[in-house]
Amino acid sequence: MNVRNVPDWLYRKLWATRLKKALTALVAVVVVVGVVSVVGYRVTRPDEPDHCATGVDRIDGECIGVSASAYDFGTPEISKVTAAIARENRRIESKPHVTLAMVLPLEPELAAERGELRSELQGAYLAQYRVNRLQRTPLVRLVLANPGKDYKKYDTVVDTLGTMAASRDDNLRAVTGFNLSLKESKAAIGRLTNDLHIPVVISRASADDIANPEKGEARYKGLARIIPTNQAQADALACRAGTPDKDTVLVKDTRPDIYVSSLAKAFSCREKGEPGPKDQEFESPGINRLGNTGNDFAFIGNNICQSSARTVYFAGRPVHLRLFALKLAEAGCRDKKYTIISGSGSATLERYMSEEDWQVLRGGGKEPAVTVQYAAPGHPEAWEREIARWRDARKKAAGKAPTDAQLPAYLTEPRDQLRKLTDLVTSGRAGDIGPVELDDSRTMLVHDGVYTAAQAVFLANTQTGDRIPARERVAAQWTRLESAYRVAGTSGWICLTNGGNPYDKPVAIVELDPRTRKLAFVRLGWPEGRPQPDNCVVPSGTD
Amino acid sequence: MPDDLGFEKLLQEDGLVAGLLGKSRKGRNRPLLYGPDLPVVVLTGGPGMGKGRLLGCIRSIFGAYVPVAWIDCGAAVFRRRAEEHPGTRSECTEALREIGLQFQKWDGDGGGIKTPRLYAGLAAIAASDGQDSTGDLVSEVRRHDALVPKGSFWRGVFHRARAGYLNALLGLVANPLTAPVVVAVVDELLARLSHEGTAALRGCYGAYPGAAGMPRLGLHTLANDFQQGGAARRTAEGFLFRALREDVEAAYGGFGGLAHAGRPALLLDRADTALGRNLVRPVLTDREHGHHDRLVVVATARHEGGGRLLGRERAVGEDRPTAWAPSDGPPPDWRRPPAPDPDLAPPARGVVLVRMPVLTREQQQEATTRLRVQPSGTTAGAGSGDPTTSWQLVDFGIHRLSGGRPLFVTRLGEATASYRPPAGRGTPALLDGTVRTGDDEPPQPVGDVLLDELVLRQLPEELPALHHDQWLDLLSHLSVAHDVDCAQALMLRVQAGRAAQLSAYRIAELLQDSGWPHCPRHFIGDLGLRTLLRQRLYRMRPDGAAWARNHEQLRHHYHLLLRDQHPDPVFGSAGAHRLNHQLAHQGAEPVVARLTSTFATTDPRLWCADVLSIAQAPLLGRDDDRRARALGEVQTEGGLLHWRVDRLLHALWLCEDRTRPIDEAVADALKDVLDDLCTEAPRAAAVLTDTARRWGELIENRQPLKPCACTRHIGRKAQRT
Repeated sequence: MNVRNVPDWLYRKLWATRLKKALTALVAVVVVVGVVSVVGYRVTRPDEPDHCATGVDRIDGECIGVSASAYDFGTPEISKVTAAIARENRRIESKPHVTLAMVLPLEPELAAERGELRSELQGAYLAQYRVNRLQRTPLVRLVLANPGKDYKKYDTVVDTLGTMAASRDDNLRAVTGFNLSLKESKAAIGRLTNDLHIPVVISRASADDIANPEKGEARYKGLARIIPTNQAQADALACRAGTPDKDTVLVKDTRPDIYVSSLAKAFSCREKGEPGPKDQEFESPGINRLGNTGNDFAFIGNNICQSSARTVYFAGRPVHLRLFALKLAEAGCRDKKYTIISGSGSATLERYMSEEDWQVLRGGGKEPAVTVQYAAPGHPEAWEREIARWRDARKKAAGKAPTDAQLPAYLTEPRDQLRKLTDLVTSGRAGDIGPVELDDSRTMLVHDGVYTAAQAVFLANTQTGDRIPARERVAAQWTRLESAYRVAGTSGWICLTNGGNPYDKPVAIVELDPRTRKLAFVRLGWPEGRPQPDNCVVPSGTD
Repeated sequence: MPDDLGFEKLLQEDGLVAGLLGKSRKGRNRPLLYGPDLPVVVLTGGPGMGKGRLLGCIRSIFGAYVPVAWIDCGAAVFRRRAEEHPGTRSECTEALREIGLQFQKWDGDGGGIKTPRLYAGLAAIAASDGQDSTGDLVSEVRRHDALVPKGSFWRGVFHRARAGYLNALLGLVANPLTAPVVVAVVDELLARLSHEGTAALRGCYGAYPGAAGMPRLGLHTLANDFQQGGAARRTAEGFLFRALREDVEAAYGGFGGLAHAGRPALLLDRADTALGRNLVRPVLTDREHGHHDRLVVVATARHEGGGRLLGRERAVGEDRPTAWAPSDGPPPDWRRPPAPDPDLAPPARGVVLVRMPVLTREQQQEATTRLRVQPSGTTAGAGSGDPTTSWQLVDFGIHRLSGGRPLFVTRLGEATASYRPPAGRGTPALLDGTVRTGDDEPPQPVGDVLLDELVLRQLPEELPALHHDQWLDLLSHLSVAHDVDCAQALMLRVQAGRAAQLSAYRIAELLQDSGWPHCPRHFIGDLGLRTLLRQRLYRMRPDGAAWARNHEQLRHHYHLLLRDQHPDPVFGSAGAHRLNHQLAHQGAEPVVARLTSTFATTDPRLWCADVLSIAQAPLLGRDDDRRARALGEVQTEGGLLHWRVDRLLHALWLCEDRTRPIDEAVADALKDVLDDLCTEAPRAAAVLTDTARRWGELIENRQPLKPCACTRHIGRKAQRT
């Protein structure tokens, strides 16, 4: 049809009779009203239907995506931190920079979880703030990626991160975060490392599965972790504690959960002496869901009460640990005092405890009915206390107090690092990021993770000159981070093995004292049973 | 030729057709012209004027936007179908059936027009023949099944009872009937109608004369009237057409008005036939009586006043039909003047006569140039002579002969498409070419083809059948006649021995009915037709014997019967009339001798008028040496006066040959020879000098020296009388 005839054709089809006019007008009105209402809705409520913020879309009611802005994902607790991160990102956006992504669920439901989230983001931000002022290049931009509740929608986020890694604007060079050991987080790490070749630093997930074996082929190419695995923590906690086997019992959750099962595996090592009571099993409905576990715990508590066990190894999530502790305390077994030993996740136990709960744990006697000991990946008092202990032991052995220069570097370097961090927080130089609580070690660990990733980037950059190092170059630096290039983290030396695992990273064995309701530092635990070697040289044959 | 060539003004966006139909040719809505009372539009124009082509244009262009039905009232098909079953069919019912079917098949905006009223009337008439068997009558009724409207789901005349009704019709054959078939059919029909259908038939046939609001009675009376024949049948047929128009109205009323736009049209080609008259007259009468409808009726008629379609006697004053031509400007204002008694008002008041336009020079040139373009894109005939000048001469010749008559232009254009113009000033022989009337037809002389198309295929309706075979021959003989007197003389001789003869007076009437123009100085008033007929006459017998015989008879007629001084209405004097025929038949010699002898004795003014009249003679069958003789290049045997008169006659003869362009040298020679004649007769000098000046001016202005109605289109400026 000739273009000049189009108006006539349209006229004949749409306007030639009164009926056509009416129908055309009707359709036009419907279309216009539709367009106006959609546009109007978008204009008035731009974020509601499917858009949360730049780069973040609403999927099934969750805001999924990667944000480099001050968007707080609807979690007011982190507003100040995200604002601070956005500020720092803006400050460096015109300079050569790499991007580090924090992948973790950013819309937690429980208030306790939101507090944990704030701690973790504070750690990340403080690390970003610090490394960007080390006079090293490139600078670090931090983005927050929300994979949804329980990492269920990790695919969307991983896709975006893949694009960002390939982008010359973003230069995503490492991903960290991953505060939970779940099937989905494991899959996400698998895709990021094996498929997209993006280096990943695990700073909070302690499951054994999220780690490369020291021998054989790497499970995740380019994975590094700065937190000891559950096995290592359990090693530091349990088997070397010297408690006779008949005094111990294992309570374990049978729900498929990497954290729980790796914990159960670590606690399963046989202690010396005659055997104790058999393992007590329960099955919880979910990480944060109690279901009928209360009844189970009541029965288990009674069983333990009847046994000779005084030390209970608990392979389960903190929510269940709290309830178990309460039920055990309520069992009231002739004033028996119990020590429950559990994994690093217990660091969050305090947040689930109410005033009444503490009362129950305290019990009626002089000694608390139940104390909980667990291996925290770090504790702010660890270094000062351990140095003091070392001094005492040395004084006792040598007869005179050692000089400061004689103090071991594996204690002094982390101490100094932690001092710088606390100094930064107390001085307020980094801006208002909300209340900072170092006790639960999350801030410290996440700080150390981001700090370690930045060190790898710096190290790779010294080899590539001014250019932004490739992802593979960054991943290749993990194994260099030992000996001379060891990273002094606030939680201890980080010296990575060839499998990307921290060698003999100390854990802080802490006790939750129901009377003071504080985490009391008990001692440092070394997975290898002895402190890290001088200068943190990883010995050959490490596994 | 493009189909709409010459019709631009009629078909344009704000033209007459767009206004009548309420749609432009692009399909856009236009303000409606007239209404609610509509005139019947009658396109008038003689043979070959493109009336049928215009209807075809309306049908093909506007038929896409509004329902358009077209029938050829002159087609034999309706008569043939009617004659198959004369008791239940007539030409009119067959035509209405065809129109109804065409409206029903329309599939544009608003969909087909349902025709329940027309169907009811046709079914009643089909069942009304008392002489026929039930089976025959039922099959006659069933013949109209296609007109039974199909009901839609929620509305319709029959709802879903259509199939039941049709089955019931079949059942009539099986069961013996106690009443006439027509009663059974009408009862069955009325019984199965929906509420809407009943209302429709009550409104329509309840108004039949004598029905008193009862549709059953109306339908029976209609069938009865049809069976009576004569005027009663005319009434029934007229009412049937009204029923169809009411169907159209109903389709455009109510909800249909939303879906339809513009007005539907009925195109009646050759409406000046009996069928056309039977269709148009009831429309005019109904509308005169206030039965208005929106059906645009466009009819064609050959007579410029509508002819028998409107009655031959021309109405006067306000009762005259509105006449309009596209060149008059915007469509005419038409409003029916108030009539105290509609029964007495002539029907022509409800008519707008539209004179068919002739092609302008530009349009003629466009048509002929297009025909000349060969497929390769080169122009035919290029290569010899000066192509531009030669083709101009051809076009000019076509214009002179055709007078802009579209068919004439096309055929001459085709005949000259492969013509190779001779070098120099030679006059193109336009009528020597041949054309093909169809792809498989052999080439035929263009003159024969044109006569066939213009005359033989369009015989006057009133021409008795026994004269059909000699009609063209008679006209050919009459091509040499000037007034009715000499025509009648010719007719008496030509038809001698025939029992039934046609008088020249009757032939003149028939020619006028056929739409041929009237010229007071030529019996065949159209230059082109006359030229064709003359040529045919010349070829009728070997060596132009018939041609010579006719002229000789007329020369003899005026020589014997009348003295030379006897006044003649065309030539001034009988002598001039006689000499004119002598010039055509015997050549210049005897005429020059006669003129030379009377030069000194006759009043110079009369003598000059005689020479001019004589020089109007046609030249056929002899070599054209007029230019040489006019310029004095040929010596004559007589004296100097004889030579000068010879020059004068030939110069005039050539100047007055309107089929040729003016020759400047001859025009100059004409003035010179008149001046020379002054020396021969000093007493006539004043008259001769004045005549030389007057003729010189006329020739300079390309005006004819003796104006004539049939050459009015030649020359660029207005005629002076």
